[in-house]
Amino acid sequence: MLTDKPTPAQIEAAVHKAIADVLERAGRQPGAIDNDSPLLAVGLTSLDLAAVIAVLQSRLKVDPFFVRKAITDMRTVGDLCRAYRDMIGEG
Amino acid sequence: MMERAPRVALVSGGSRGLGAAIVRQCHEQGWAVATFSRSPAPYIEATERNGGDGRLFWRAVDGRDSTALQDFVAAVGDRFGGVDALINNAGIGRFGAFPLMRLADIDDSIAANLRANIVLARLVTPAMVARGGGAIVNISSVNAIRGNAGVAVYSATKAGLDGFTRALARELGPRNIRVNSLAPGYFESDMVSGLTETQLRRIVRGTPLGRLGSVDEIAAAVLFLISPAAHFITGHTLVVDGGITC
Repeated sequence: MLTDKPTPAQIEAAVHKAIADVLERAGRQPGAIDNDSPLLAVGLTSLDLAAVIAVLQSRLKVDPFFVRKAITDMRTVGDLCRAYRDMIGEG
Repeated sequence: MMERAPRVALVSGGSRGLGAAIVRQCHEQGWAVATFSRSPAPYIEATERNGGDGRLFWRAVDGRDSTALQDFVAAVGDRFGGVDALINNAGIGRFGAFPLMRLADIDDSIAANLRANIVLARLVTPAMVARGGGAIVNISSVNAIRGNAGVAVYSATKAGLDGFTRALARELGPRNIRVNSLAPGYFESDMVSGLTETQLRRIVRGTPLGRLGSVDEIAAAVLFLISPAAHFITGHTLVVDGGITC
C-alpha cells in the first residue's frame, strides 16, 4: 500500500503489477504488459478486471469505476492507468 | 484462496431484529462481523462494554448513501482484510393501499430494499473475485413469492432481489462465489408488530406449523447458507416460513 499520494509512475507500476498478480493467481503466465497493450490481448476477462480493481482499491485506495468511469471504455492498459491517474490527481 | 481466520461477515442493518440476530449468531460461531445501521447496535455496544474481542465492527451508515457504503466497505477491508460473506439484510417496510402510496415511500422502499443491496454487492464482489470465493445472502420475503394486498412495492423490491440473486449466482459461480436468497415468512419482529390480532391469527391459521417463526430460526438458516454445509448451493431462494407458501 502506498501511504503518500502516488506519482504517475507509481500508479502505472501499481496497475501493471496488479494485472500481473491477477493473471498469475489465475494460473496464466503474464506476458509483456505495457500501456499500449489491449486489455483483452493481455489475457484479462471481465471478472479478472474486477479482481484488478479490487487489488488496486486495496493498494491505491480508490476505485474509479464505482462512480466516475465505465470499465467498458477501457481498451488498453494505458486507459486503465489514466483512469487511476485522473482520479488520484483530482483527489 | 488463501485461508484467513476468523472468517468475516458483513451484515447490513445489524442493529435490531433479524440483522441483530444474524450478527449475534455469526459472532457466537466465531466469525468477525462488520455491520452498519442508522441507529446503534445494542448487542455490539454490550459486547464492547464487556471488553469485546476485536471481532465486531459497527458504524452509523444509511444504506441509501452510496458514498457512505463505499467508505464503510473500505473500512471493513482495513479492519478485517476483506469480506467472506455478505448478508444483505437491511430493508424497510412501507405498507398500505398501493393506489394511495406516496411517491417518497415508493422511492424509499426501492432505495433501501433493492438499490442499497445491489450497491453493497457491487462494492464487495471485486475483492471476493480477487480472493477466489465468498458467499452472499440476500434477505428476500415470502411476499416475493405470493401476492398479498398492501405490500406491492415491498414485494417488487424483494422479487427484484431474487432475480438479482439468480443472475449474480450465474455470473460469479465460476469464481466460487455463491449467491442465495432467503425468504422468511412471518416471524416475531417489528415487521409484524403493526399487524392486528385478527391478521396475526389468520397468518398462524394459514401456517402448517401453526405459529410464527422466531428471529433465531431465520438467522440460523442464514448461517447455514454461508456455512460449508451449503457449499453446493447457489442461485437458490430458501423459503423459511413454516409452510405458509406451500
